[in-house]
Amino acid sequence: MVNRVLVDYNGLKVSKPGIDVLYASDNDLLFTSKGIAYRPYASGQTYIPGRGTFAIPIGKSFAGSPLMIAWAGDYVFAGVDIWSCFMDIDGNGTSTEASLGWRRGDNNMVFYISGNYQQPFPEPPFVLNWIVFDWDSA
Amino acid sequence: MIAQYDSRGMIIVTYNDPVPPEIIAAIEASGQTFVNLPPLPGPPRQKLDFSGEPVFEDDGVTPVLVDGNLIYQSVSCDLHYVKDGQIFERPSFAVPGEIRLAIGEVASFQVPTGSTLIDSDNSLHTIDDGVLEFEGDAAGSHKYRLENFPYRSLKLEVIVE
Repeated sequence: MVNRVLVDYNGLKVSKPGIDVLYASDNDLLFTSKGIAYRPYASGQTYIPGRGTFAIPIGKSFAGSPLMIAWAGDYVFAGVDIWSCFMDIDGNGTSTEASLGWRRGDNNMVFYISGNYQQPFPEPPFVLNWIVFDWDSA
Repeated sequence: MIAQYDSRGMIIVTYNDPVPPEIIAAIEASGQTFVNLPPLPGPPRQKLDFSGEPVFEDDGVTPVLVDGNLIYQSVSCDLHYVKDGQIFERPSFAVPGEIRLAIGEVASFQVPTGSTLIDSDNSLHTIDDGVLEFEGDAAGSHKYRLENFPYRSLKLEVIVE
């Protein structure tokens, strides 16, 4: 019999069967209370057919803006409120070429890609992968 | 998994499992077309005790079975499409992603009639005879995109040496 549940000043941990929770790494845990603060809410893909603004319904009114991470090819975006996180994706010093964020009002995640950036960012069409993290559950 | 698609059957958004019920409600309210692919029940597995040891019936031989883990289905915007409410794999063009030619050399490929070749200037060239042909007339690299839904979009580069 091994120790499976640990409650101490760090919080609560439950290990996988056969793993002693006292020596378990995070990968050996079924649950850890320290992970709740950044629990993924939803994830998926969006087809980006061209340059423009694309809204992805998220369907929830968050108390605070959720954290969003998206990636296409080798490029990773992160954002919170829409239009608060612009990015210079071609490295030319102009930071208004892309944005990712949550749009209050219609509960949509919005990805914007401008018409004036140059390579090396992938030219549409491409598939954007994304994850929304729910701060509200912290 | 939810796959939201347009009038052609192109999948434009996917939501991985577990899909929050608020998202399903929002898509239904929007009137957009989608396919719901719920997780499938996995095969039964042997029950483990608190220490991770397999559990048997009283005879010590017959394993005690419990429900298996759920199997999440996987759908991708660029690899699948929807037809008659069912998910299908998008076929691929029989064209390589990189074509190397010597000057004066010609390469031909059979493609579905009506396919569109898009060059780096976004000029469209419709292939009416089902034959995609490149001729190496000047050294350099030329990038194109080949489209004909539901075929997978193909980005290709022609290098003339």
